[in-house]
Amino acid sequence: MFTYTVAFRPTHPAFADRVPYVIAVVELEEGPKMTTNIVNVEPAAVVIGMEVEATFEDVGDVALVHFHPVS
Amino acid sequence: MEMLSRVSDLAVRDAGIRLRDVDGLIVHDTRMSMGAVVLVEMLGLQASFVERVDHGGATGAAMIARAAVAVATGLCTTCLCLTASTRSGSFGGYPVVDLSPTAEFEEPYGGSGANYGYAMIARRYMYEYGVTPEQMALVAVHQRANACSNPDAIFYGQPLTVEDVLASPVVVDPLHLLEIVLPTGGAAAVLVTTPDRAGHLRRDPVPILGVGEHVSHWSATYARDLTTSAVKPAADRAFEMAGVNRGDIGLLSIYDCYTITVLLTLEDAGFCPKGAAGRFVEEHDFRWSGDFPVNTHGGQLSYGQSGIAGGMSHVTEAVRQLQGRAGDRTVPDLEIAFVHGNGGIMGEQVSLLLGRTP
Repeated sequence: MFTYTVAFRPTHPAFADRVPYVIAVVELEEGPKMTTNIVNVEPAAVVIGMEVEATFEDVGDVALVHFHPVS
Repeated sequence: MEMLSRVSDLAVRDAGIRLRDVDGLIVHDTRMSMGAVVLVEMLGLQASFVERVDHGGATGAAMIARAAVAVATGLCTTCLCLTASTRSGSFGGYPVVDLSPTAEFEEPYGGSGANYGYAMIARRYMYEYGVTPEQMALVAVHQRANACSNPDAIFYGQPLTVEDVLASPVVVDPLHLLEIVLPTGGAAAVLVTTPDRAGHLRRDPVPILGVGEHVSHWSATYARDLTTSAVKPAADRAFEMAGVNRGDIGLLSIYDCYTITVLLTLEDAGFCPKGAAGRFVEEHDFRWSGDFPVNTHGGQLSYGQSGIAGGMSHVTEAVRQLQGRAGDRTVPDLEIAFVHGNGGIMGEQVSLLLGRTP
């Protein structure tokens, strides 16, 4: 987990029922950074430096890469 | 277009010239194709230099830098730099097809607009260097005090405390509502001309001593460093060109879309060590009457962010101050001002050093 923010206001109506949600930048073991959501965790429990792993959510005909804390 | 026409008229009257004396025009996105030539036509110009600048919040400062180059090289002699935004904002309010990778790789995660990027910068800055919510709030408080000396500021007459800022709703953690600019409508025009012509105007001209620019990224996700920004190379270049020192600066007029923006700019422009901005805010008084005046018009946080014209307000305020006509908030004995524009998510940086007529 490189950095994050907790959005308390939706940036688009599609996210209205998801607030508060975590937008984050994660640094992959391979090097690149990417934007994602951190899921399956209370926003208050998210900290920089925590280890996270990818999980996939099907949205229509695409899949979004989310991350959640390593269990 | 009417706002742009109106401020054009105000600017040339203020300088004591006629529109027909203007032979250069720089404008930003005017919501229409060919907006620049339409403006040339509307203003009745015959121009030898016309261009459109697209640097987001840094556009105003970037216009001045480009106008200076155009005038210095003889492409034109008197260049009008124009900015305006209606309440709905020149950043939005009309259909835009976003062809950047953010549309595909960030917006599906609820990341759009500028708020979340700056929030992630603030969160990382807190992690690396430590800054308290109270120190960040203090930036907004100081600037509000300045706005209370500026009848043109949107928050004129509405003082603010640290407690007020921290009690306002968190929009994107860790940024509170009162740490984020309020979109407003407004317009600003600036004339840039040759030293010869400048000596015969109605107002004391303000010499452009140095300019510097650095553009590095769009999305915060792809910034090489989130907490040390491209302000540094832009500011270093401007100071080197001007041949002046940080200690010579009597006013900072720096882009402040968020409180964190001011902290990063203070550090990366070289006014305090890296990681020390939080303490710096506590130890100095940013009010026009203080020991370290910053954003004496209130900054965009308290003056209002009128789109691209909000960025230009940092130029117009510095010019007014250097001409000694900033009313009750005039900084005494001011010689040199540092003006800074910031666009995107800290990825577009333009610094200006402006002086005073001897």
